[in-house]
Amino acid sequence: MNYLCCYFPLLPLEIFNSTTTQPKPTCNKSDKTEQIAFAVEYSHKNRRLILQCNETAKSYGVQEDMTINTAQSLVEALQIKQRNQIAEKKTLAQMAIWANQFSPYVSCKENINQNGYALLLEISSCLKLFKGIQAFITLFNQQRQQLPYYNHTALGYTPAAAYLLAISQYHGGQSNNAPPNNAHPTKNQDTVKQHASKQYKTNTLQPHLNNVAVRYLDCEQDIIDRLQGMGITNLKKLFALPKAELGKRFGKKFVQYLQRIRGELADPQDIFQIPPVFDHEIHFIEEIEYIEGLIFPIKRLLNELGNYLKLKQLAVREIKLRIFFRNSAPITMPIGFSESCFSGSNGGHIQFTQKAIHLIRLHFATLSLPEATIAVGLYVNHFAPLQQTNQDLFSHHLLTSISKAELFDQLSARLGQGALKKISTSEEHRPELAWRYDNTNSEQTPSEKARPLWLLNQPKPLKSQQGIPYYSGELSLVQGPERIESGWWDKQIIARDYFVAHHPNGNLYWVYRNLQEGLWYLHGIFA
Amino acid sequence: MDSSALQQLLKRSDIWRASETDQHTPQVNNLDSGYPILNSLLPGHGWPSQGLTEILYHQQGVGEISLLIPALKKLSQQDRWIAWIDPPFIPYAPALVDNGVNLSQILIIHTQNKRDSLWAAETLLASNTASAALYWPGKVNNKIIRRLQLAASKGNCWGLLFRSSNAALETSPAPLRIQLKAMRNGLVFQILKRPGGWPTKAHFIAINRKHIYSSAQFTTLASINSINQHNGKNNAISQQNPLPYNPAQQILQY
Repeated sequence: MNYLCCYFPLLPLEIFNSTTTQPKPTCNKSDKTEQIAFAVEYSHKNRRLILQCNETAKSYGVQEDMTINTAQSLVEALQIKQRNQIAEKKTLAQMAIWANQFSPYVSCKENINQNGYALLLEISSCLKLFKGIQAFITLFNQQRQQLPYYNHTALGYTPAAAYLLAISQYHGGQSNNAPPNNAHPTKNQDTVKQHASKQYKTNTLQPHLNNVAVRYLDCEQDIIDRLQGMGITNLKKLFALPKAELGKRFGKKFVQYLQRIRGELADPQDIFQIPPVFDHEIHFIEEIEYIEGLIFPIKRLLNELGNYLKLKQLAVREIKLRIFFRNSAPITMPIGFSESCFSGSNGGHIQFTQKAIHLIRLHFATLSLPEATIAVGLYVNHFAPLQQTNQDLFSHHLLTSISKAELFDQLSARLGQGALKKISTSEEHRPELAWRYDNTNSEQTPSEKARPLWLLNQPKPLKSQQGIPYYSGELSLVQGPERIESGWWDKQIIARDYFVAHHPNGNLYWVYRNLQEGLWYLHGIFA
Repeated sequence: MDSSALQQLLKRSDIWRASETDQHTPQVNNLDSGYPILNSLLPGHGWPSQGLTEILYHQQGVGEISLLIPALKKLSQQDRWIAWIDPPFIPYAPALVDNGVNLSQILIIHTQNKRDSLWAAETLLASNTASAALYWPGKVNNKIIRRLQLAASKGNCWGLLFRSSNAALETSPAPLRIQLKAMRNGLVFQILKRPGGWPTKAHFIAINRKHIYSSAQFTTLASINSINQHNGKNNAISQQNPLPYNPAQQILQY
């Protein structure tokens, strides 16, 4: 019992409506017929054929491999989409990332019977971590139920066997009694649980394999036809035949395949590598018109990102959210975190999703959709190393709530990046350049001169009479002058005499006389 | 009113009795304002660590920042934001550094509209990550102030509302209200409202601004007294004060 095969037979269909698990406020849940008849098409010899269709379409009599014309004559309102193999493979990769939480050795199988996909998980090496096969299966099934894609799993002693069992069990029962492709019985019904304990203890897979029909073998159709022609319908009969004779008739490759099924020959797998960047999209079958409706699929994307980060032990500083429309250009929203935001602990995952959703909601508060959305994507190109943050044990106000950086994020998400500024000093004599909006903490050297707490954005020209400046009252100069002449090396040349001036009402102002023109200006207030 | 009804009324937590003023002052170590006379008048002998404080003045620059600078200096040692929301001018970094304020805790927020500024102020006050929030809200009503007060006490944050002196005529849910007036070499303050105490008379605080060596050291005490005398019982500033010195009404006020 080394391998677990997770078979996704309906992926081409399901990638289009993976979001339909979302409860829609407009349609009645009980009203199943309300669902749109939907099918995925493919081309075969210049003919457009139905690849897969949903339950509603089936209830009208639409079948697989039916031509589009026939199907459309059966259901007028049939929605048909082109098969999107790239998206299917992307989805499988997402599933592989998901499966990586159970096993480090996951391999992908594509194009089973032209349209199915499967994942093979090597599990014997991780059973100790999950405390035995039973606990593992329970956890796996729990997680599996939450997948938006129909899947069927089976355990096997070898990868080939697990794979064969999963496919044959899905497609028609073990003894050819059940009709093949009988609509999914109950969602994610599994045979794993029933057989797990028994099989694992006895370590035999023979009884289960024996009943598998030969047509599910992963070999040329020609061989299967010939086997069936000879009356060899299941594996029991096939295994009973001497290997040498089989080799003579069907070739060495076929015999090796059988050996791999039985575990007599090594069967190395291509181990799935987690991609270096995160790039997931969800395409909607129905356009989403209101912005709140996007939160649900985004939550799913964030969960996937959380899984990804947990596996790679990384954190993120910025995620990019992109919303796609039919006609308008997509909207890209960078969502920044001012500190690497992801903790590797168990709760970190959920916390991360909540934090990100909170920020996204703040972004959405100022966003209006130009039209209905057709897809949403989440991208992360840059990762930061995971850091365990140590929280202060004694300052309780920090423990109970968000951090400084999180607050910064929330504010800038709503108010815009430019609204939040930090200030710092800079080594400069010109007063307007001696400070700047800055995020870096430069060294803060005291100026040792009289400097006002308020600086005016622009120096304000003052009236003057006989060399005395007026600002709604006569100003008396109490300190100065402090001559500042600087900036001859760039365009902002200044030559000023600064004074501290008293206003009759008691206010203290910082004024200067421009040495070139002799005019007075108000530049600051000693508030 | 029979005595039991009176007793019931007196048990209410929002009723305080003038006779218990000083005994009931919470003996918490509040934030030292840096000015002994101000400390002696503030409940808990210092600025509150949370809740709203209204600073009222006629004109920008009466010394409102200088008054707060010693407190801000101390608060900036904490790893929490000191936020300035919609300040009327640029808080000048060199002067703040001169006064010992740690700039890394300073956060300046400029908002586009009233809605955003109120949202930012409330979020900040309630966030638990800011030690002080200095807010120039423009015109606000009591409903908003009450919301901000709730946020400030929830978030353990000292919220400072800078308002025009005209607001002294109105009541406000802020627990501490101080009116300022500019004076040569300092400022005159008058506490219009404080928890567990009467409004105070006008008092002068000398402000030593860094690196200003004013030659004319006025004796300002005389001028203060003249203000207080000139206006009889109530002084120049409290003339506009809606709070009369009537204990019976005072109880109702709180």
